[in-house]
Amino acid sequence: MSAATNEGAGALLHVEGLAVAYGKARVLNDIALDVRAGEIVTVIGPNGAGKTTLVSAIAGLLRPAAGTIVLDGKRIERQPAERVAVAGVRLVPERRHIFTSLTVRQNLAVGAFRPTGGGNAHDEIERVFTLFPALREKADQLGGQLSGGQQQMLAIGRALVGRPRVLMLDEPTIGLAPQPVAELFERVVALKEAGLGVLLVEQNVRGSLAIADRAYLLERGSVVVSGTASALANDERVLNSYLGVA
Amino acid sequence: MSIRRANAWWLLALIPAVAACIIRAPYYLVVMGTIGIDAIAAVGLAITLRKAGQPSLAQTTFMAIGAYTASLLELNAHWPLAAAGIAGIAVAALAAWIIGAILLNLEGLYFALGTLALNAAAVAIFRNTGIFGNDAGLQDLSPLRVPGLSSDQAPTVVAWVLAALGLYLAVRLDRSRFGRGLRMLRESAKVTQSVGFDPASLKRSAFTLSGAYAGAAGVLLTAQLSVVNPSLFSLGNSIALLAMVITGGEALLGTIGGAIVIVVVHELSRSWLQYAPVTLAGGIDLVVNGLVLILILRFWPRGLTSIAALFSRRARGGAATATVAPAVLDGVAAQDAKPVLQARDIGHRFGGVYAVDGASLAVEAGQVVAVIGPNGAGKTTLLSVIGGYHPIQRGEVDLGGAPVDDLPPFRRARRGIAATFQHMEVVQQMTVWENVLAAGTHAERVEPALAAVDLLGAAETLVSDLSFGQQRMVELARVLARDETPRVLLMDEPASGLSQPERAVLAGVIRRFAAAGTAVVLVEHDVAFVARIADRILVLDHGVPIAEGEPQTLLREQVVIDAYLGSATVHA
Amino acid sequence: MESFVQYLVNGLAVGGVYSLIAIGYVVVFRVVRIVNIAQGDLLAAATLVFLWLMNAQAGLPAAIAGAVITALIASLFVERIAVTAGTAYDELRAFLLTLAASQLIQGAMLLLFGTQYLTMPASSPPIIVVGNIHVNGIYLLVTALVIVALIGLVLFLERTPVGWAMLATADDPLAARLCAVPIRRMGILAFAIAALVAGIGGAAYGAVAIGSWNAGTTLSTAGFAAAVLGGMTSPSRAAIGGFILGILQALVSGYMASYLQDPLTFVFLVVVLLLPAVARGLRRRRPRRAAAVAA
Repeated sequence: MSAATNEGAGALLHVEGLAVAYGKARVLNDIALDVRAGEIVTVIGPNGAGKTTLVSAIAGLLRPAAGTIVLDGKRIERQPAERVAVAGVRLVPERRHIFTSLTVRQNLAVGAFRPTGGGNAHDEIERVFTLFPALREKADQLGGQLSGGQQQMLAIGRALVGRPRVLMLDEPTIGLAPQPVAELFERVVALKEAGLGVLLVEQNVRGSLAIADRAYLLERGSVVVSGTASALANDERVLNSYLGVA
Repeated sequence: MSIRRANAWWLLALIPAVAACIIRAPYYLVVMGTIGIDAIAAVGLAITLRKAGQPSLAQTTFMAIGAYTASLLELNAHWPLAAAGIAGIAVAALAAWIIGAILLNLEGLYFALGTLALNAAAVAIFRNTGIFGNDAGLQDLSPLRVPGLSSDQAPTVVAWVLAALGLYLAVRLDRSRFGRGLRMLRESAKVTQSVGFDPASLKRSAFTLSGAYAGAAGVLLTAQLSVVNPSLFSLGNSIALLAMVITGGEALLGTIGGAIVIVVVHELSRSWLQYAPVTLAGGIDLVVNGLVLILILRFWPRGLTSIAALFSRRARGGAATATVAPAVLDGVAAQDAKPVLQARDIGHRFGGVYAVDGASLAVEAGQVVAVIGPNGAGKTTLLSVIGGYHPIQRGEVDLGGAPVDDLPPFRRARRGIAATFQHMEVVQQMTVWENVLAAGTHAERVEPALAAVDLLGAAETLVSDLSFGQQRMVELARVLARDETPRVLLMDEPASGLSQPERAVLAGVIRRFAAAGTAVVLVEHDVAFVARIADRILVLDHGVPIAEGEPQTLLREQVVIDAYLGSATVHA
Repeated sequence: MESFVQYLVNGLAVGGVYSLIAIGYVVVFRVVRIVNIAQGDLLAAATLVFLWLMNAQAGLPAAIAGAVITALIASLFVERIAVTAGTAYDELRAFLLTLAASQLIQGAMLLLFGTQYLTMPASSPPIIVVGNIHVNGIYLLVTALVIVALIGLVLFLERTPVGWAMLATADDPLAARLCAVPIRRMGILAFAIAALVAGIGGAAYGAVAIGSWNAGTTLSTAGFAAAVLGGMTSPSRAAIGGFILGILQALVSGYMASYLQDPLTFVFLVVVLLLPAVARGLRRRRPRRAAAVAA
């Protein structure tokens, strides 16, 4: 086992020295980040800061140029996305990516195709229906027919049926009205309280800082500020990063 | 003084013509003649496949049209071979022009499948129609005669002379504005339109030209064989031509090399299997074509051209370092005081969701107006509607007081709307020089434009070898090198991925445009950059304009801050 | 009237074979986004092997098994050649690779079987007589077989978790990977299913038509035209497209001339390919703005 494991003791997901490059252009530099079980960690930063790249790299969609990603003591940075999902890190991608030609129930069944540590697909789907009752009502409708908020619930449910240890949400509130946003944040808090580690990438900075335990501000591929969510909520540098004027 | 040197590689294609005057052995002459004829058809195919990106599987069909036309005129109307041949070429080109009008509406592989079905249909008709002589075809055609050459030598020599000529024309064409337009089109219809080309007309011209080459090859084939029959024009033979082009790679001279490789491998593999029944030769050819295509596509995608590239890279070592004054824009002709560009109440939706809903924009000459807003605010969509890349759904766009809503992007470009794109659109497989020259007709404008973005030393470099930021600079230079200074310049996220020095260059170029009287619309997520350069800012959120004003005051407004940071109405 | 019914039955049988090719296109295209032009060649190869085994007195079950195994080997070979890491970004290159594979398959068939045509061994086919209309029973059998294969496929895709995982891969490969679905294996499975229908189709085609090394091109184009009519995504609509084209061809060859089949396929293909573009063009027209700005 590498030293990284020891340094990340206590963290479920431990990222260190992570760098990602597209061709010659480095888009992420030397990222260090931890997610513990039962906490919400949010990553904020202006457009183009590298937030989506970061979760994509952790999820195995991108091969990092350097650095380590450790899940519960196991190195996963070289694993393809399918394996990372089986290992227990699930990403709910930006814009949801619902399977539009499948029904809600079938969408969930695909999520439970290979659950972490095995498990009964039917039971997992029932659990998600209990968590998101609206989905049970629409179980046999096509995923494409749901409203934006319901699609987001489905996307999260589809990740949960895989029994992940860490759930990553990329811009889950994009395009949602205020009411579904509040509802969604409530559920995310409930998931954290049930022991899940949540990594939340958000454009709604104030909203995500309000529910998160800790936060990282990303700017041009590097972490510029990190700390408790309440500290970042009052940090001038956050507004400066978005609007260039504080 | 041009950086480009005259290129005389096409003269190499005359070597076989000279050799054929000396060689006497009929077998070698026939093989050489076959290569020459195939080379002509393949160069034609390369124009439409490699240059315009249209993969035709009907090249032998146009060969057949040329061959049957010439043969019928000769047999029935007793035309002399030369006249019948020219008529054959003309009819093949005409057929390509007509068929192109229909099939070129299809993209990529659908076009390929359309031409594949055309080939099968044509072969069935030739096989079963009396006037074409059914399966047996037309026989007893008069052989090609050239004074001083034997009947074996004549077709081979003529084929290679024509192949050299065809290659010369194709290379010249490739270097012309038309050729650059074609190569742009292959990579991005958007860029092609943004510099004022009509993609449909480019494709159709290229396809017609390739039909003419095929017609010439078909006529020569009848002259070589003295017969014409349907099996000469099978799908398998079309695919052999395709294999030649793909083996050759990007360069047209490579296509000739591809023809040599394919025909020689066919001949060798047949002779290795000489004890096999004659009928199996066709099977061996098919296997060879398939294997060569797979090997090249999988393992050597640049083909023979990569060999040539070794030489040219060495030649590129001494790139021009002369000092050239940076571009000075001509300045836009004096305009009325009212806004040059006016977009009113633009609405655009994808599916049921409005990406832009009721945005208006008025930009005066020499003004820089920035459109900002959080992710998904509809900024890019607004620009696309103004440029014409999304057909307008609601609202109006005026340029200089005249409506342009119904015009396709290339017509708007010709009226003075220039654009740079979010997902940078530069032609990777063209040099920096060619990319920039494609914007206009004046070669002398290219060097100053490159000087203005610090790329003069890289003029002969392939764009794919540049860094990301440098590629963005190529896009800028392309706008600088236009024949006329644009009246409107639409820029989508021009600063993304640029280093600080590159941002300074970008800011300088934008200011230069504004000083020349161009109305600049800038979509950009780097708000600090925008604040430095914009005269006015429009803020969009969820497609709806929420604020507009001067940078200093606007960026402190609560509504803008809320748009960026979201509201904290969450009970956690 | 009698000839019309006979043409119709012929058309149903041949159309059924086109349907099976079209289904093969659809399954592969949906899952891996490749137009596999070798699909008709798989079926042609299966047909040759089927007829060769029938003529060698191997018996019907062995002949069908031979046809399916042939198609399976050929299809997995195409998969190995055409599916690469870059497939999703360059569909034309992938298409050209399947075209190359189709040439290899055709060449191999020509080298193995020569230019001879194979037919079913002579035996009296069961004739069904209704009034004064005589219908070859094999044709009806083939039609029934196609319908059974189609229903089986639809049930597999819509009722089993593996089928859903395949459809998910087709819908959105990225999201499927994030759901731990092994998408490469789903692609291989798609090629295997395409081979299974091609093998069955090959046996069916052998029963009603002539086997030859180069039948694949005609079959590929016809099947593709049918698949396009189904939007490249719907197996059942693709199957309907196959039947329509088969019946049209049977009528054209019955009342006009049989060699017009390929030209008909071309016209049919161009029409179905261009129809959506034409329809889109019509919809895009919007009322011009009233007398451009009064000022």
